[in-house]
Amino acid sequence: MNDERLLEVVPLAAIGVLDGEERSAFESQLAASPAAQGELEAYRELVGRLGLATSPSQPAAALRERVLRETRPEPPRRA
Amino acid sequence: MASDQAASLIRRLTRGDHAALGEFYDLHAGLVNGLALRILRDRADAEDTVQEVFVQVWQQAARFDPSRGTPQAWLCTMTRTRALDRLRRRASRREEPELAQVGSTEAPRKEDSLAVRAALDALPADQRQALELAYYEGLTQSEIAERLAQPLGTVKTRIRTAMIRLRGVLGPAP
Repeated sequence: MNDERLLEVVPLAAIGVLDGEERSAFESQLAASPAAQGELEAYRELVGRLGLATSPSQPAAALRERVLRETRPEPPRRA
Repeated sequence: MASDQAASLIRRLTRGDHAALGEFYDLHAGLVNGLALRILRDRADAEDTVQEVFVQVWQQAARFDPSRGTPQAWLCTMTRTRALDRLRRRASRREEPELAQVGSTEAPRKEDSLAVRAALDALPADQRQALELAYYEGLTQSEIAERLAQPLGTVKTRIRTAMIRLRGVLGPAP
């Protein structure tokens, strides 16, 4: 893949649809192209924002406590 | 703005302020659960994903880089990745849940959400369909071509064109 071809594939790579040889070729040549890396980062951010189009839906109220319990820092223990 | 509030909560999270996680959760649980539910169509699977995402937020808040996008885009990326992983694991076990009804309007839409929704709505139907199979089902280009019974080149062009249009309409990270 030359640089121009690499840039053409970036939007597809960002949303994760590449497969087969095209995917391996893209991944192996990305490191050599700062331009493609910059574009990939910009497109990935765009893909992230696409999630905002989805209608919000509140989870069950109990989930909040599950999350807080799982992450709660351990109280300091006495020696 | 919600993004500023979220960014300041993330700064507190990086300092290990556990109370900030509850506040961050209250702001974003609907967004994360809505996206996970849209992908997984199963309430229990979606809520497991929500839990994983907020645990990841707690553990990796320091990895959030505001120069690379909003906290909401960061959350959506994590949510989509984890939900699609779960979808693939479920598919490999050949388990299909009873499909849940998705899409509620219980939470008010923010401006960013409206802009993204409008940009997607403005895409030609064939481009949007291909993009949604990629985004919500995590299919590869060959799988999408097969699903739509279209040539691979056509599918790639539709998705690429859609992405370029969306970028043109939505611009760089806000």
